[in-house]
Amino acid sequence: MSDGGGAAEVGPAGGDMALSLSVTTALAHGRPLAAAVARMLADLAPGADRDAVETALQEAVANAVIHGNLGLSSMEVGTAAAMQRYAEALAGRLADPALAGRRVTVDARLAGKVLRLEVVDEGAGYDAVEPRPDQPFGRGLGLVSRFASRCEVRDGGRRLCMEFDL
Amino acid sequence: MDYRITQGPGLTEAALSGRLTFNDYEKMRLLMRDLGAAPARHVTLRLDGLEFVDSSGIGMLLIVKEEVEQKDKTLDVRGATGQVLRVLTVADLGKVLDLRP
Repeated sequence: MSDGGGAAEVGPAGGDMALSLSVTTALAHGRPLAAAVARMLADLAPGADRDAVETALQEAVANAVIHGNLGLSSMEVGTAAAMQRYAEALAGRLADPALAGRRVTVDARLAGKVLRLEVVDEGAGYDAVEPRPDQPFGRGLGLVSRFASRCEVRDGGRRLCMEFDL
Repeated sequence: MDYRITQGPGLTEAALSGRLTFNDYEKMRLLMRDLGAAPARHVTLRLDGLEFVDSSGIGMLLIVKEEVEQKDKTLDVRGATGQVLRVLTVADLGKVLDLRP
């Protein structure tokens, strides 16, 4: 796939599978990337829990786009006014070609009974902070840890590694 | 995400459909505007038509609750199924939202 700022490689259909997909931040924000990858993986790794894979992958992509490549922290205040300011900040950063052009890469590998996904961004990295109970946002990594069999944040926050037991 | 609002005696119902994710802030802002302007004291969010939600979507649902209650209205959330119900359950949203079948 090269249209819209993406590139993909698919490995051999038999035995282990390796898939690497690289898209721009603009595309990853505007299109359902996690859904598309999960749909492909459902065919290539039929033993995987598709909802779990898609949910965890969606959170990883969202982190890569918003916190990674666009450099925005989670919204701390839960009001409509704060949400509007956040949406405006998000739109402003997406309008910057330097930020919108940063890549989000999804690597998927199937080895035996384990599906391994890695999502990598080109941002400055971030420290994951547990949200306060009254904060409406910031639950993404918590969801990843609940839906993936194992997960790990690497490279200062730029790489999220997830494994799913099939 | 798309939504459709219907008004009944004492009730405003908003039916959400599609996917509720991190690129839906503007749509949810419009939904909150419309719910705030509705005359009924009780609001129901129907999620039967929602096929997917992420953590940003959860946050937006919590803001809807906050904004509705700020206007002295009550809110319940009905009809979540599949991945949506699973995520709301894992995220313990039943402790914060009035989730109904």
